[in-house]
Amino acid sequence: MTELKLENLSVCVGGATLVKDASTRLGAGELVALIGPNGAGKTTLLKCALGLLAPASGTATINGVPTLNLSPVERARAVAYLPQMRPLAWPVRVKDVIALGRFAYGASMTNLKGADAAAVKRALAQCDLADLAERRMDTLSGGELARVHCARALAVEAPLLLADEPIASLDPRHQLAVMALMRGFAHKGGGALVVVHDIAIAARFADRLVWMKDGEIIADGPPAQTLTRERMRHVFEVDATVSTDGASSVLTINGLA
Amino acid sequence: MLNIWLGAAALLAVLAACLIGSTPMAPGRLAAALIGAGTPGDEIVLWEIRMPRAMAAFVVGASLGLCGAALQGLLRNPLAEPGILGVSATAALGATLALFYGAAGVSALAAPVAAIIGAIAATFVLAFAAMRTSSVVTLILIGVGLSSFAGAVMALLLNLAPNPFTLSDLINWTLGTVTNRSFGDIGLVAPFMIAGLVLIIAARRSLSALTLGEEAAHGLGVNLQRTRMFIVIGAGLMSGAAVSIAGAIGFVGIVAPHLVRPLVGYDPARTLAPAALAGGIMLVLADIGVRLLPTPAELRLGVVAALIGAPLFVWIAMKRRPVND
Repeated sequence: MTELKLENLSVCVGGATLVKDASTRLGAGELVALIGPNGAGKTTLLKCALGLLAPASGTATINGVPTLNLSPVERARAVAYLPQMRPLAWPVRVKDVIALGRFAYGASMTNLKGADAAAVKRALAQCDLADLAERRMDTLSGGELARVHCARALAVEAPLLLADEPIASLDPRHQLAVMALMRGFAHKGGGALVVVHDIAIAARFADRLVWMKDGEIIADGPPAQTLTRERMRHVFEVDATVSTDGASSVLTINGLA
Repeated sequence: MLNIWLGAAALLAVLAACLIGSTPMAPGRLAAALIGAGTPGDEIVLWEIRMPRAMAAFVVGASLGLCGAALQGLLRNPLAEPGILGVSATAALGATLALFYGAAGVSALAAPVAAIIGAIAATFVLAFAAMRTSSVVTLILIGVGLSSFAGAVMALLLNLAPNPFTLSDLINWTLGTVTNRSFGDIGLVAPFMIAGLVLIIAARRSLSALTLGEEAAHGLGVNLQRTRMFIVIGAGLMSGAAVSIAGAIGFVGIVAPHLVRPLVGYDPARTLAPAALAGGIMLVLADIGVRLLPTPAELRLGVVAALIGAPLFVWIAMKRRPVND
């Protein structure tokens, strides 16, 4: 059981407070969506949770150990991270990018052995990329690229996964496909924290919604409890209608508030 | 497999370089001299003149090729090379200062040692910056600053050169040559080269991970600051040592990795060894060219390398695909 716990985290960069007194947790088997307007501090919160940024106060811990104190390899084995920016320096093959997911286990990019090769194979299959394994990255479409990066994060086979906008700029079909991958990861016992801008999709897939505004976490709970007309107006400044369809919440955005 | 072919090609290139010189020496006499069964004259020509020269060209080319591949991996830019971090220029400045103040008259080793001191001074500045900043752009800018400063001081020294002899010495260092190098010159800097090699090899897997950018590499478990330190200091030691053998020779560090990269699937880690071998072969061949060309005065190796390398550099830069970096 691996648990990521954020307690009263504050992050200041250059005099500006980007995250203020934020607390939440991510445990096994849950898919948590981190939502909020642009500039709310979501990416900063993820980086601080990973120990890539030092907090001004508060702690981020994995099973009680501050992430800042973990060695890069220990941290990488506990949490897979899919950043928002996904530059690619060289036109390598799909399977080489996914192989990099095994870095923390000592794997080399183009010469995989044993357990690492098996993990890459599983990730390729999960993300439906087996046919593209030998293709060069610069020949892929946006949807295919998104799946490759997901596969790279899944190949780590870490208990936790933090993904920053994995479905941004994807068409609806690929958005659903990537969210289904995240859901599947949680279903198998992983804990996923995903930044999502499509609130309807977040509400449909996530076990919990963590709402951020101006650097603060202002609500944290299941969609059925936290997704309300008032909160959409307060956080996103839009007028929305929330209805229920069986167990899930359905969101319709009507216009600017 | 690629490395075996390149290794064989390197061996052939060095042997070919040993066949050529002002005294004709047939392959049979060369073979006899190689196994210690030649005439004393042949053996002196081979072991005191031609072999050291060929080995110097190979070692310098291999160091520059390896440094280029390592720096390109670290900076994720196919146009990076040892010169970009200003280490080559600072090393050449060290050697030039030693010559200008007549230290070379005290000891033949003064100029190489000064070059290494210059390289280490530059790497120290870069390593200090690498510990404090997370930005690769900052490192490049510091390199540009170091290069410009070293270039300015060298120009000043050329300007103030007291006599034509000093001037010609200075020109040797700025243009680059492996003429009259001895095994002693190579041996002097070998420890620095080996130390640099060890550092670069230790960081090679991190270079692969940096293909995905620094943030993702960090997430994958790469120790970014350590990787930067290892590559910057390793490349500094190796390129400084190379400059101290042959003076400033450009473009090998850009062209060699570029040629071999597609053959290893663009993996930065697997680019290192073939880039070193290809760099060595290129410089040995260029040095053969220097000796074969019927020019009144022997061309400088650095000039030939630049004449071939600079147009290739422009070509690589122009056909570079737009990658988001």
